[in-house]
Amino acid sequence: MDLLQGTLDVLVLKTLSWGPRHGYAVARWIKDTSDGTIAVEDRALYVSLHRLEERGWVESQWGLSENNRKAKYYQLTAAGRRQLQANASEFAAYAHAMFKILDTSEA
Amino acid sequence: MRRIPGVKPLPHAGPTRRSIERDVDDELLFHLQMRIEDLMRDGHSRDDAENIARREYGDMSAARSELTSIDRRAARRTNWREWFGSLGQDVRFGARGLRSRPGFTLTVLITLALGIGANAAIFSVVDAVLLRPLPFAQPSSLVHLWETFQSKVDNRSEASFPDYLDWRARNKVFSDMAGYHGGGFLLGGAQPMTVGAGKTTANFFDVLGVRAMIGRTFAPNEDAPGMPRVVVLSYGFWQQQFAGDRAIVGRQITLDGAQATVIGVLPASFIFGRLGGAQIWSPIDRTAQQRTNRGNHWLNVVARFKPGVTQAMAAQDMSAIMRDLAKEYPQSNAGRDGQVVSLQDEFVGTVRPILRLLYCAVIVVLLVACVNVANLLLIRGADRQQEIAVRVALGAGTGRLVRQLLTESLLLAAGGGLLGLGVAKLGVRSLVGLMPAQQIRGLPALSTVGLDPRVVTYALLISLCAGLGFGIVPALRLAKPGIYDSLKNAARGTIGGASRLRDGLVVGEIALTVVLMSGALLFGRSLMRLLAVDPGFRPEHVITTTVVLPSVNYRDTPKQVDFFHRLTDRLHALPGVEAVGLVSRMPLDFGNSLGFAIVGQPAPDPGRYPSASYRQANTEYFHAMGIPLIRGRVFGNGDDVRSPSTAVVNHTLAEAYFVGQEAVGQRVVIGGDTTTIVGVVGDVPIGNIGDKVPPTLYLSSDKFPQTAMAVAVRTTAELDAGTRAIRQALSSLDPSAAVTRVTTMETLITESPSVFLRRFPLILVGAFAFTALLLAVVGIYGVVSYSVAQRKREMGIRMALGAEPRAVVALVMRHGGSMALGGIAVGVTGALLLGRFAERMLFGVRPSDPVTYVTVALVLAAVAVAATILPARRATRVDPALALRSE
Repeated sequence: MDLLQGTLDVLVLKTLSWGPRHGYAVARWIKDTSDGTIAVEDRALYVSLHRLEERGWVESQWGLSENNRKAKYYQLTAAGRRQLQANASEFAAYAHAMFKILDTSEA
Repeated sequence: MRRIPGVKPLPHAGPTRRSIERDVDDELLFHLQMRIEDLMRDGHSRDDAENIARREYGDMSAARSELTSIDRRAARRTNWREWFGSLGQDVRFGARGLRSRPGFTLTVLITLALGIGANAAIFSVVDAVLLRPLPFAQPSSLVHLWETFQSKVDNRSEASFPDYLDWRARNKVFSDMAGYHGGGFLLGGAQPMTVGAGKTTANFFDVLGVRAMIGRTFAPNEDAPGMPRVVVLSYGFWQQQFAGDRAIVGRQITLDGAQATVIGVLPASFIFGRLGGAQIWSPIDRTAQQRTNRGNHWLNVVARFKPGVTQAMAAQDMSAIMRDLAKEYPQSNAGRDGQVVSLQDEFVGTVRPILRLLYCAVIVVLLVACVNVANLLLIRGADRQQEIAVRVALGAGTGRLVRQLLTESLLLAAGGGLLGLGVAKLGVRSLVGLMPAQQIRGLPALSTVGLDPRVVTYALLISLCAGLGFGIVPALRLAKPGIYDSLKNAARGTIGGASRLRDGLVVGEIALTVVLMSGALLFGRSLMRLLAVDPGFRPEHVITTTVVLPSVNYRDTPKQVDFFHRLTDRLHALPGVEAVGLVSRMPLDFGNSLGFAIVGQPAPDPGRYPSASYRQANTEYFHAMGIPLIRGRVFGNGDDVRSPSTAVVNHTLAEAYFVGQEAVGQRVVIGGDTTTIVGVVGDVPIGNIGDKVPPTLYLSSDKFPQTAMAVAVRTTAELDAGTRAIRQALSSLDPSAAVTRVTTMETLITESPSVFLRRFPLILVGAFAFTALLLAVVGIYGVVSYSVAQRKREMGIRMALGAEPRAVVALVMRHGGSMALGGIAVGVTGALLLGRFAERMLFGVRPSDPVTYVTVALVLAAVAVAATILPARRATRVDPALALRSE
């Protein structure tokens, strides 16, 4: 299942809301949590991360990974947290509206 | 950035072009390695794992460039944010630094306020007069048309009415054409007053593209002879005289004793430069006879180009028409040509060179101010070398330092600019105050001049330029890397090049000052020469005004003669009055001329008739004005309506037309009437003082009176008393008559254009030159004192080794003197080169006038010496022991 425009950003923000992690960890988390239903190209995920950083919703820092490699860690900023909340409620309203339409069509 | 908790941070420098690429690669590599390891742990072979990881990732090279460009954009944005963030810091730091040196800051601010303020003031006038378009529709296609005569150089006249009609009918280049002339009305009422008027053909406002604000302008045919008089009011007059009452349209007012109907009011923006004083506009009211006479030139003509027509094409067409007319009417038109001048040039042509000159002068003042400030900054900078050296040592980059120093300069400039606006406000007011009413009427844009947004913008812009201009050199100099190789050296405070630079700047500012002073002196000497010209009359103790009678009540000449006789009698009876002269136009007023033939001389070729300016005068006029009688007699009581016509001519006319003959007794024919010349009087200017006096012919005002006559009273009374007496005499004789401004003949001379146009630039350029001189003194003083302070050690050693104080003084003064000499040499050369541009504004002095340059050089040398004395004396008081120890 492909992702709708802009939803990847929300997923990334959500992933980071549990704490800082590097890009690979974010990719793993999205794949594992959605049980592989959501197919994201890793490239798109990194573009999303860098965009979010450009907008100031995420900040990054180089650090040492669990297996002692140099890795770039991302974490939510205060603005990013606010953005996540706004997007999540928007998304819920959207999904709700979609379901409503889809349910009535067969009736 | 905040430290991310739980992550052990690695040292990382700020983003650069290269590091961004490296980071993207590192991140990508990390991802692939992690994925491959995971996949291998799940049992894939290494090759397999690599393939899967790459496939999952997607297009690598596209990803790299995409991520790099996002990061670069982000880095740029961050850099800007930081730049602005630290700018605020620089501003605060700069302001603190300036506050801590109030003497320095105040000197700089005053210097800049003067420079920028004077600039903005002059700019506001230049902008209002030269740069703004005229308040008409498509003003660039409007032109003024003139007739010129071949025989005299640069001589032009108004058009005759028949010529105007032919131009209008025959031309191929103008979409339309209209005529006008100036005049005046006597406005009746409780307090009769004279009002400036414009009299126009019916289509005048249509040609200009101006509509009435209320009511209408003239309808076709309302300018025909015998039509009931209708008038349009200027906005200002409507406000002032009728309190802006909109019901004025349709109302009757009394003009020259007759009724006229107001049909409209013009918009506030309407001003017509050549008739700036016109408050009432009416259709032309000349008689049918005056409109058919081709020899009678009284109509000014404006025209609008058809689309695509150029001035050259129009001039060609006009010349062609005039050639045809000369063939058809040789008697009146032989030798006449046409001239096309843009309306803008016609209005501001005479003041344009003056305003340009003033603008250049004021730019020079600003330059001097900037040079001075740059010097002060350099000197101050030298004192700050240690501070800056410390900052360099602590890692401040050159760019950062330059910016910090420039920020300080811009702060100074901004402060100077704001103060300058205050100076400009005062400046504009006194600038306009300097101009006589006559000049302001000619340049109506001046009445609205002030600090509008355009001027404020200009002032802020030049402040910015000035700030960068005077700040950049000292900033670069101070922040130059390598200068502070060792802090110890910096403490010595000797940077070889800096003192040369400071001296060079002082030389430059002295040179600029020399140029300004030379200009001022040239104007001053022109004015002196001009005022030394013998005007041919004695202006002292003459009070003058013009008396206007309502023409309708004074249609008959005997009534006019009678009134003026009673007026002169009444004025004569006043205490202190020596003579009462009457004349149709005073000297310094331009007037009309007429053609005549001389009885007993062969008839001249067509177009070559003798011509003369003419005016009507009474018996006492020549005495009252102090015009000497050379031969024969002036008018007597017998020269009136009942007697044969007599004339008095000026010296020039007698010399020009009666070579080797006695002019007195000769007879001339004017318009069919034969007139006998009874006397020859001295020349007086007609128009400008200093211009060549044209042949002039006087007729007796007892025989040819007018309803408006100028009165010249030679009296010992003061102006105020004289004014009261004249007004009283008039209102007791006829309360419906009015007088124009009562003033002295001396004031009229001062306000006359030829004097004013030299006095005005003199005052301003003089003021600018003085300002520049003051700044130059500050500059010399500053630099010399500073170098004395710097060379304390050297002076101390010299004194210790037995040098005479005199030798030390000489040493210091040589420094000041060499700068002054350099500046004078450069300045005089520059002034000589520039002088020829001002040549036409001078009178009686050449732009290379040696007296001027010698004077300027001496004054500057003296001033330079004076500015050096104090620091030189300070140098001799250096205590050798102290000076040596201080190092």
